[in-house]
Amino acid sequence: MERIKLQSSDGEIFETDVQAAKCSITIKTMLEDCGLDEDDNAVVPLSNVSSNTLRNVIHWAEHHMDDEPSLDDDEAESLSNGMISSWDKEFISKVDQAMLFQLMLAANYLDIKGLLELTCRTVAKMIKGKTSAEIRQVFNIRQHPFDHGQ
Amino acid sequence: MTFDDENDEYIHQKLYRSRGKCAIYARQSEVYVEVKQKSNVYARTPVAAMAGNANNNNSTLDIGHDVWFHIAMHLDPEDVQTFALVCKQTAKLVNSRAFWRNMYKRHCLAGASRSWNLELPAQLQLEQIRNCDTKALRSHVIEALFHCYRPLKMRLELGYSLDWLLNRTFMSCSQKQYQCLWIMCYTLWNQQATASRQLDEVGHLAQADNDVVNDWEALAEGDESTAQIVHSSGNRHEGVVLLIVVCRQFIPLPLQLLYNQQQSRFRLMATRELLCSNMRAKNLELDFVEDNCNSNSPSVTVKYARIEKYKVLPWWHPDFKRFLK
Repeated sequence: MERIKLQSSDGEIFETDVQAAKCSITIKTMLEDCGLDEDDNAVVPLSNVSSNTLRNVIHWAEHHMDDEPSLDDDEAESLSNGMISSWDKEFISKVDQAMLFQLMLAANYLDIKGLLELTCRTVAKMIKGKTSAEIRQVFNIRQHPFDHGQ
Repeated sequence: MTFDDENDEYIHQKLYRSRGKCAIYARQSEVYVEVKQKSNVYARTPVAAMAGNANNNNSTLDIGHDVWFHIAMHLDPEDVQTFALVCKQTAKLVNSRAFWRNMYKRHCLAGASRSWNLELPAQLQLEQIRNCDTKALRSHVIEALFHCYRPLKMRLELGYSLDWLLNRTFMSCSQKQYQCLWIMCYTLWNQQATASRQLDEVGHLAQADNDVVNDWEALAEGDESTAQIVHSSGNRHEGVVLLIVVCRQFIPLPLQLLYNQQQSRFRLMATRELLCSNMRAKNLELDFVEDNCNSNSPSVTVKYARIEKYKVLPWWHPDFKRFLK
């Protein structure tokens, strides 16, 4: 099985299956466009993902690398209320809140639909029942909503 | 002059004696004042700080529009308002077509056929609402959710209390006979009162930094558009509430409300539901006050004796259009 090296923002290098790495559309595009998949010693730098986060992302991707390719947007939209697999439930329950947010941002950066879906659903559940002020506090949004910017 | 003398003189220059309780102070010109950062006490550590720790660096968490978008796509209908009031980005998202389309597909088409839901009336089917503008789409989706989404359906089953009508502006009143019953229909509107409250809120932002505002439309459209809220709506019934009162006897319409000489509007100030002396029926009293009147004393009180029942119908209620004239 083909292997690939991924480098986190803090310089740590992780080796994983190419198939697992290709769960990320960003990495898949990088491999195809830059011809990195032909080079055995190539290292893919991921400047926006820390080592802790990347370890979790790889863990998730290695479990999901044989999944069916992602659905088109319309199909995904209507199925977004579907069930979360028990493995995913366990995976997400083991990460703390900070890591959850890091995973969500990493999934967005790496364009991993499944992981983004899972993390966003978890965050949406976390928001449930909170007031706007509480949500602002959790997300560290300091500006008043009527101010410009975030 | 020795080195020690020079040092003493230098220290003397830098410090001087005061007559107060403290012996020595540094000269004011030498004092460097640094503002001490007060640590904010949070019930929970903010995610940005936690994320920074997780990363072992000082980077802050920057949640972009696309991430907010993905979160919004998983919200439940009852959390929409809270989410919209978080920040400008979330308010804009909630004001978008994609958001309401997604909401409709998740809650009104899930489990059913991909394009039809037999629980919904014809005007709320996907085909009918597909091409309308964003505000109309939002209104239709909200109406549809009250047909399909269980927690909102339960709200309808519980009904709305009379208190829900307070401070709404009187718009019109009509009555019709149905068999042996007289049905009075009051049309009240919340838009004017809300708009003035919104303008007040904008004015008091500086002092109410942590207050939750209730208008996410203004939030999404920017401060300058607040004044335009009143007449910008996709659904002309949005903000309208009906009060239906059913009586056995004929009671004339309150002409003071309908033909007011000052052309001023009336606001519903208080409602009273009183038990009759025979303890079998109820009386209903409605106190209206003129909108531009400073005193809180009611200008007009309408009394309905021995009513059969009453019902409050907001614009999203499935029965609303049956009674709207």
